[in-house]
Amino acid sequence: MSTRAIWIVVDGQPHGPHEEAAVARRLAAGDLSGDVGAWHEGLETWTTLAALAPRDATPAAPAGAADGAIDDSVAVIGASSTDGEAHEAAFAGLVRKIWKHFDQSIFASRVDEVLLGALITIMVERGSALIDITSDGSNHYVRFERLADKSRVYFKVNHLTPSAVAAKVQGHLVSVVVGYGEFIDNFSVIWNAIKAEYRSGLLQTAEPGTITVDGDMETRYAYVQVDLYWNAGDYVSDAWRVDYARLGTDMDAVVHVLRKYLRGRFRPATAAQGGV
Amino acid sequence: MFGILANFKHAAEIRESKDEILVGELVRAMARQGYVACGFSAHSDWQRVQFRTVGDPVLHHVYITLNRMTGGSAISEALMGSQASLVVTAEVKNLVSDPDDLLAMYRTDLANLFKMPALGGIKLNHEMNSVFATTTKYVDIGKFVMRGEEGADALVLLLDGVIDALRDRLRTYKR
Repeated sequence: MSTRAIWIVVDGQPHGPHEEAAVARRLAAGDLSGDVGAWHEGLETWTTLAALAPRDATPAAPAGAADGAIDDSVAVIGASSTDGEAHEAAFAGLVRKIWKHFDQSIFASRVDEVLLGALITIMVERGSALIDITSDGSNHYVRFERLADKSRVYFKVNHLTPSAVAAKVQGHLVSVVVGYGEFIDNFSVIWNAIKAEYRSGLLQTAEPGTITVDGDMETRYAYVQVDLYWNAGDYVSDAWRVDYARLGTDMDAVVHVLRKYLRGRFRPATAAQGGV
Repeated sequence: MFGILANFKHAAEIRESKDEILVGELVRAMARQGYVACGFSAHSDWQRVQFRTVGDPVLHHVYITLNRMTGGSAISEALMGSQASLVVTAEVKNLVSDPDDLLAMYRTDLANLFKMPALGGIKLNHEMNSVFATTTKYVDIGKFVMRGEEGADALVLLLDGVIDALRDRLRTYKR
């Protein structure tokens, strides 16, 4: 049996089409008034729902139609004020549920930047100045200089699990390259660092704990760096709280080793000096 | 000669980095007040940092945008210092789901399309579930960077005052 497509008047405007079965059922239930203007193909003028002759009495709703989108639409259009409030409360509940997931998603995508901010905070608190920062949202680079002795520390942070699902499975993984550099007043030392940089480039993959070397003749810095993977969740809680002490301890350990390596390799006379 | 050139290059690099140094000081100053940096946009002439206002009864985020205006070169710095603008925006977020509230927000959004920000004043703006208040401060970067605790305290004081004013302006919009 075919059903007719019904247009009804809502707030003075035609609204539809609606399935005839759904309209008839709402009319019978009292959700729609019989005075509501109605029209279907074949009629020359608008009439009322009450005046629409039921072609086949009230057709039975097809299976599943009670939960259909059109059915809901009609229910809202014709709902009494009490029903409207119930619908609005239900809608608010649905939105509130989404917010929880939305917040988790935002946290997962932003935790790398929270880690970056924490690194900046710790380095500046310890007397270094942020002298370079670039960021495209997922790949970040920050470089610091301790103005007293011109030593530099840099971090390249790359977010590996920016989605909530990936973070749930693997944790909030970030690739962190930590570098340490010193201003060296010796041409041959910088030249040696550049030669070592070339050899470092021959490494196809930096294995855990591998320290590579870099030299910059223009600024006269020799750098060493190490590739690490950190779980940002170890330092940042779901409530956006940062464990600065833990992050600072881990950062100190890495910088200490890099400094020791650089000085042992290029400045043996100062290898015993310390401090981040 | 090698040493002189290297030292000159280093001095220029630090001078050009003063805005980045101020960004670092901003992040540290905000962290001291309990705000957590959670978003960075870094470009050659401006940087923006987004902060999560953990535990704040009114505010959800604070955004600070730094635009360096002068001082990139030695001559410019000598003549005009290192001037910059700090655009500070505070955000109230309401989990709006009531149709009447949504309609009210929509009407305010439309009204705000035609409003220009008042110089030095606070501009309000609605966008979806958020209400924003924005103000701009013009600062001399030299007052805050490479000055140790004195500079850090001055920056905390400045930011504290600005954020307090924005919070007061937004308080009535928090549901």
